[in-house]
Amino acid sequence: MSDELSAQLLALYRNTAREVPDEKLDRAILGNAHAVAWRRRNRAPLLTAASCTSLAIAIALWSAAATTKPHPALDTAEFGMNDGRAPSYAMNANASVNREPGMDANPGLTAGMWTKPDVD
Amino acid sequence: MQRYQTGDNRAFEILYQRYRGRLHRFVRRVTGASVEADEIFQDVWLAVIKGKSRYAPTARFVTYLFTIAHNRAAEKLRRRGRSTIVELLEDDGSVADGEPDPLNVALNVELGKALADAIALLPVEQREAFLMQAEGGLSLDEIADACGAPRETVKSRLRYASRRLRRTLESWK
Repeated sequence: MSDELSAQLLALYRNTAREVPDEKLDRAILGNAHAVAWRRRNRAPLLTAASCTSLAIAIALWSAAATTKPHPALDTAEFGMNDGRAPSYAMNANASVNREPGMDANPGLTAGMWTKPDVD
Repeated sequence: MQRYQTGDNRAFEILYQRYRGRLHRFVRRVTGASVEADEIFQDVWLAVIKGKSRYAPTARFVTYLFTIAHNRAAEKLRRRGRSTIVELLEDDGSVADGEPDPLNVALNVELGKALADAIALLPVEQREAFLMQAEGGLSLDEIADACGAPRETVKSRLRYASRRLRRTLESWK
């Protein structure tokens, strides 16, 4: 197709072939392109929102779990659940505040037995 | 196309406006049927839209476009089962593409019609090769890539097409 006649054929073709697609086709194709672009644009934020929600829920659950879990010191003080560790200062202080004067519990007595105050 | 890949939808419109006429004429003349041509034309653009993320700029966009068109048209012709039978294009009074040169159109309108009819009578492979060159401006290598045929085969097809067309148009001299 490099000869002059072939070049003339191509030129003739290009000068005369001018049909174009129907406008309905144009609208359909451009509409499709816009629709696909719109879906792509709107899919990303939805995913982000979903991820954010999941993350927020996860943080809330984790934080709730962390705050409701009893502190090891409280375990010992409130429920007498001695786990082998030394009692905290707060527990001892609390114990002395609640104790009535002259009613010190004798470590040698069993529970419910009190020594009679010495009146003499 | 690379701008379109980055999300610039306006770039697609520019591509579409640039190639709509050429691609439509190509598929219309290769298939020889306007309804099928419209379907293929839509399919090709839909493939461009849906495959934009997979597009790799290894070739010119026009080669990519005409390769898809070739595959779709070949598939359609295979299904039709008569790839070598052609139909003359009916004149549907389509609108002109862009601003035509009035003098050229006036002088060549009849000759152009004769040429279009002669193209329609070419065997489909020759017709396709000629149209890829005429409409897409594709080189020999690009046509070979698009058709999946050896370069020398494409060269022969173009030579035969040219010879046939010249012979058909002899009476116009």
